[in-house]
Amino acid sequence: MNKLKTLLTICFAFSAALVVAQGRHYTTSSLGMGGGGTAYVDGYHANFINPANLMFKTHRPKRSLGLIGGVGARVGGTLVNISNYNKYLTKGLTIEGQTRVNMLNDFFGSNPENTRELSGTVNIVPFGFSNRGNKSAFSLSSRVRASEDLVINKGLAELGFYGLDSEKFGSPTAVNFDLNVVSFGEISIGYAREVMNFDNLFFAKDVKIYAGIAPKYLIGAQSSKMDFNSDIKVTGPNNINQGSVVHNFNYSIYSFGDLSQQLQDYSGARKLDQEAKLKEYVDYSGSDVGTVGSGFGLDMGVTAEMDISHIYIPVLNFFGKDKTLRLSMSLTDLGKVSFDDNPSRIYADGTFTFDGDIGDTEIGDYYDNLQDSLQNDIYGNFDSEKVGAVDYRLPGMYNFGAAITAGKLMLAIDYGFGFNNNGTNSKRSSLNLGAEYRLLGFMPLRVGTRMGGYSAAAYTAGLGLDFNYFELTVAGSIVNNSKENGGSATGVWSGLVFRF
Amino acid sequence: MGKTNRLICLLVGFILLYGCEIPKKPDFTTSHKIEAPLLFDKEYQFLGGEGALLDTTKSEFDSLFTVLGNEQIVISIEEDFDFGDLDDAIPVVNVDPTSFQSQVGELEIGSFSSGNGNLGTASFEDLTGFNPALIPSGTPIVGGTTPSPVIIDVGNNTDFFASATVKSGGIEVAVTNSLGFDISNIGLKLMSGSTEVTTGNLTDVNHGETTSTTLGFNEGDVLSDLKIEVTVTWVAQNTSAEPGELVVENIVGDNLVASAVEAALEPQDFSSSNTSNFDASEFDFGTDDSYYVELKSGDLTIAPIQNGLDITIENLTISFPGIRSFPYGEADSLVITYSNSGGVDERILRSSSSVEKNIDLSGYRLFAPNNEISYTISAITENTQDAPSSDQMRVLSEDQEISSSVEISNLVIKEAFGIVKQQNVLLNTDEGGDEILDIFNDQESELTEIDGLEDLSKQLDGLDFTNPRLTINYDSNIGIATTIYGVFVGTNGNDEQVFLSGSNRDGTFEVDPTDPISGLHANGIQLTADQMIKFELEKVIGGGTASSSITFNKDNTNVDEFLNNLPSEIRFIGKAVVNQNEQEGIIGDSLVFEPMISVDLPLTFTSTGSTFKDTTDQDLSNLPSSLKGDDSQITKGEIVISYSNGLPIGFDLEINFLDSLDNNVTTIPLSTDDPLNLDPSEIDPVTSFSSTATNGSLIVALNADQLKKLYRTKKLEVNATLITTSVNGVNQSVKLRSTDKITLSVRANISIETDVKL
Repeated sequence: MNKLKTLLTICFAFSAALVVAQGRHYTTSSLGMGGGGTAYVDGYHANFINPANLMFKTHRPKRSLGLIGGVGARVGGTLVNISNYNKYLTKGLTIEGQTRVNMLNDFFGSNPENTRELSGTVNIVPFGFSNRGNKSAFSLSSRVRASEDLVINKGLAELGFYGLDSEKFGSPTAVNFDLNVVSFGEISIGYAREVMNFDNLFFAKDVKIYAGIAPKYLIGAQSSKMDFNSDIKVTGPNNINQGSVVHNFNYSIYSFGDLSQQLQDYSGARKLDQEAKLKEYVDYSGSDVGTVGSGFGLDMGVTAEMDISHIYIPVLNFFGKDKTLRLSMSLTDLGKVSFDDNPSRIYADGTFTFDGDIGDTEIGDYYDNLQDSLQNDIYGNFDSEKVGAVDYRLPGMYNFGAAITAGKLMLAIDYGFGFNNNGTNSKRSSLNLGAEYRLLGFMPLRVGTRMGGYSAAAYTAGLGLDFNYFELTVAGSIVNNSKENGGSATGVWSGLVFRF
Repeated sequence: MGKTNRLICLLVGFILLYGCEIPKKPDFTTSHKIEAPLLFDKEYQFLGGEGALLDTTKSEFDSLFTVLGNEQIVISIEEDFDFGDLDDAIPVVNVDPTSFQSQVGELEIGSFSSGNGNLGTASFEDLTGFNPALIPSGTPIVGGTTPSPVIIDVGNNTDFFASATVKSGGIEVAVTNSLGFDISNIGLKLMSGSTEVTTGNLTDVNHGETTSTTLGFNEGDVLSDLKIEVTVTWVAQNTSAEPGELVVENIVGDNLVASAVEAALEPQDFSSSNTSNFDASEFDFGTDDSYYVELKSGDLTIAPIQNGLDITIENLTISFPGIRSFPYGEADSLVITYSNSGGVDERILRSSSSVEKNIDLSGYRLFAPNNEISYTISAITENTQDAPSSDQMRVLSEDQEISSSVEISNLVIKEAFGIVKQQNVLLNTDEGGDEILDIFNDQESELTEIDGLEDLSKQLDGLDFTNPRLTINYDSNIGIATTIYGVFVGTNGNDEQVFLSGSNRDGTFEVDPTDPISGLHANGIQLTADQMIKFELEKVIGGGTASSSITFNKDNTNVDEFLNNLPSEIRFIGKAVVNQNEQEGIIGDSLVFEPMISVDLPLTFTSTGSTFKDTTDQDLSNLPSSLKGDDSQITKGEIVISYSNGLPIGFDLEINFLDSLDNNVTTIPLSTDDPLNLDPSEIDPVTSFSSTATNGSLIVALNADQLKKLYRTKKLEVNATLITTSVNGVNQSVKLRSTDKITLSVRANISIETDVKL
């Protein structure tokens, strides 16, 4: 017991020190319990969290089938600062003067170079099936994921809240943003088996060690990456001129498939004919979705399941004398999607000066044509180049989890960190704590919290109906205080899950 | 204890969730400021292509302006006036058709017989009572006289003569003495049957001699079955030859004219003259034989000539001495012949008729002193003595005739020289043919629309052009005096009308109330003389078409008032009075009068407060306003305009924002605001052209209350008071050059607040 306490203490300290978030797969049970699940998510969802858990006998039926077997959406990031939002944008304030300065400082800090991120991920499991045997289990599951990352700098926010204010933009001010959007599908085949068992091991009895692996084929649906950097300067009138708005900018966009070809065609056409119009060349229909990339990935893990009923644990014993402890560790989302269908990069580097000097053009014509000119002659005047395949690395994570079940109560703890910052994944480690109480045995009430990761600490909750043969549950999460590390919000629906 | 723990767990869970950040409903207001230069140093030349204040490449202005050598601008318009022609002024000449009858008249009788000598004889014995057998040659005879007149029946041998009713003349009877002795007297008595007609004597007719004598007739003598009763007287002598006979050798007419005859006639000629009269109501040939009408076309028709004679007209000519072809001398007169010549037999057979003859008179000139044209018919009959003997004898009487008619018709004048009677010609289409033209009848009035001026006139009011002109340029070939009485009415874009008038000026084009101006109406009411102008067309001497012009300026007409009204529509009706004084002159076949109206408005003007007004559709309903529940509203709107005005015109601007019912939404500037003045340039005191541009700025600002209401705006009404450069407080007459320009810089300062609430 002391060891357990020590272990838990170390884990909390570690997570507090690293700070963080992750792109871990969510189910209604895992999200409701803080977003972990390494040691307790079973069935076909285990493919994406810890395939070893396919061996769990959490429910009597050996098979589970999910139709639309899980839908989740998550948004978060440092830009999702609910605290500042509530402070400035919900109280009827006019965002001007010092209020505007304070608000933007609170959101972005005082450094004008600061950036903030908004990420979002949508997960859908259209189909899942798992079958558990006595010694092994397998599953087949699919998942579709779409994620976006938007990073903006403070200058862009200032432009949005100030407008073209010569006092604010009297000197060149950076106005930047990055946007990365990717979507892909997965077809995962999981396999798990009991690899060892011990009647007694340390403090536990009937210890079983499960190992699982779930290779997956990745289908790149579509991807785009944009990097836009600029500075803007608004000059007021003086004795010489009427003032000006000067925007220096450069940007690049990676694209693939049909869209890539259309952008290249337009770029080529403009070299021959300056009157070529972007809209005449770019009309992306999406017919190439699913054909622009592919790849392989892997999820794998191990779980030790043991009986600790014989150990008295205060409070827990109140919920039941039969106690089971599971310790798990997994590596998820190893692999990448390679977008290799006609990859290209368009790029532009230019300056838009708006100083009222319309030359010989009639004023009506000038402003009538301004939008078209901006689209085609200024910002749309880009070059293109072919590039090699662009890899999107899956939001890989290391996950460690423990779950203890006492009667109708389950407590769980997870720790993890991402190998990259794609989507809502974060290299910042995260700690997830959760509890589930199954009211009347089929009505799970779940609460949890997440600390670290891609946003500030979040609290989670979930409920629903979970029978042996059917499950319909939901869960959601929200941050406690997003002021420092941003907020997040997540919602999951279990879909229709049948067990038989 | 168990319940307490469970409650604690639930409470902890509730507190944790309660402590979560829950985003509240958004409730804030953004305040955006937009400071943008809209225009910088944009030059607007007064006149030019795209981008100029007046874009002369636009259809309504493309022919409106002209630029003189010194760059001064003239509003110049030239429009064709599509008059009907003046051909109604060409006189119409008509000739009354005439019929003619030409009698054969007196009949001349020549030869009575076809043979020579011995129409009859009287024997020696019958004439002397002596037995010729007893009196050989040399036998003396005693003097004596025919015991009983001897009748010689010559009628049996005059094969060319049957009978005649004598009108005058006589016959010559030739006698040969073959009796063998000399005769001192031969008594001749011509008998018609048993009726003595006439007598005569031959004296001293020696043996072997032939002598003749004329037996005269009295009018009315009838000759038929001719016999000659002969009586001879001789003196005692010795016969000089064997006894023989007294022979009637021949009988011929001696100026023998008959009124009726049955005979074999030698050719008879006869002739007659006739005249046709011209209608002199439109053209008078007078008594001068040099006046003429040259025909563009015309027909002369001679109806079939009826031959009422029992004898063929061998040759007939009709001569028209007054109808002449080029070169129009008397020898060139028109002669029409009926004869058998050239393989064409046009003889007029006895008791028959000729063909109809039609003569094209194109190119002929008609000389018709006293408005008469005469013609002569001359005919020669056939010689029936040359006819077969069975067809030689014809019965004629002097009252037998040939007859026909002459018609000169469809005369179209190519040129006429003489006295053209006064012609009043309506210059416009006369609807209904009532000889009344109404200026406001679209079917009658000549209507010219001047698109460019319509736009200007709708927008400009009170501008005083200093020296406007209206010119009528025309081509004409009219060689006689022609006066045009015209009504010009100009209507501007505001339906204000001004009549062009020559009254109260120098009198050049003034119309007198006694002038023939009747029939020129406005909305059914006769127009008065002071609503018209009149002008004379330049006479064209020597033929051909010549160009002339008539200029109306402010000295001779009220053209300044007329054109300062900036008419976008000019209506015209008029009449031409040709040769009002009926003097000698030449008039052609087509009276060319092709006028063009030319308006010149040099942009030299004075303005102390003329107004320019323009209303344009401007839907501002997209502007945000709290009044219509929008989350956004403009809290500050300010347009700063800096200018450098090189135009000698200043503007005092007022802008009305109107809703869809033309109700005023708001106005800038408000009465409490500074006026929006754009000052004119300085001008050169000599040339009146702009000399130095004036710099300045003005601020068009709207307060929050105005900005809230702007969304109702559907139209913008710009009222600009135009003021020319003022020197010492007096507004000057200024001239505009095409190169005069204004330079504008415009900047917008706008603040927008947007409420974000759920």
